[in-house]
Amino acid sequence: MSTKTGHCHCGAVHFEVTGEPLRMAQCHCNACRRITGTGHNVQAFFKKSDVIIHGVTSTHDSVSDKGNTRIRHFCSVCGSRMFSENTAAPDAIGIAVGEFDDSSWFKPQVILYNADRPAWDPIDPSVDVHEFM
Amino acid sequence: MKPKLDTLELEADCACGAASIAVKGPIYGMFLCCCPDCQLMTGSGHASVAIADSDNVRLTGKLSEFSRLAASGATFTRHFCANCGTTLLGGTSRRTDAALLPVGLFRDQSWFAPNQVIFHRSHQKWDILPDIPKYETYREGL
Repeated sequence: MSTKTGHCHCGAVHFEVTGEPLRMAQCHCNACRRITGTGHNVQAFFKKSDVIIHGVTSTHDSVSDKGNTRIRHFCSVCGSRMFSENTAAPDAIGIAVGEFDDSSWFKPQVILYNADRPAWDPIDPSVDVHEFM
Repeated sequence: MKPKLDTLELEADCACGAASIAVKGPIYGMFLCCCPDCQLMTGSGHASVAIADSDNVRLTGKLSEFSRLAASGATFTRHFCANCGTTLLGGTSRRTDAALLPVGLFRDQSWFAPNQVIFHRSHQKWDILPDIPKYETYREGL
């Protein structure tokens, strides 16, 4: 089984992942656009037990459209977007794909909140698209 | 430099509401950047950036900042909310009069029309880009 590794911009937080992603997603909702500063967020979700995190992140909680609590992690030193948790799936953790040393294995399986997608941000038409969740 | 957009008024809060940015004035450039640093900061495949005049930007709230050396040799600094990590503004020592705005921050992004991708040499194949000119590093003369 291959190990995937990654880190934040300054290196204060780094991580190792064994196992394959449970889900790979691209989200264009307002919250995801705001925290990335771009047209969408891309995350790969893994079993928490398959992920080892070194270093300390800061977190910010928010409520999703479904009413669940999202916990978003960032590096407090450099501000890199890192991890997310959701009370609806307590055994899973999302990892921002931009943090991986090698993300060539990534391909979104689903595109969420296409209704909020800016015109300048095109998508792969072969991916399963949802207007909202 | 000739503005791409003459008058624009933008306001945004960070994710937790503790910090905000307000911008009023022309936009001088709009681009996407696929450099490794932008991938790390955004957690995605590229940053989406609009350039405004730094004199026309107003920030509120407690911000942290992180600086690093850019490929140009300049120091690049990002300002982010200390509480929720949302990036509000970037700046470069090469052009201290330029404010680099993370476009995703603003709820209305209909005004944004990027005309180039820079640092395409580190583009990830899973990151779908618009059909605009792509440059391996900086565009000459940018």
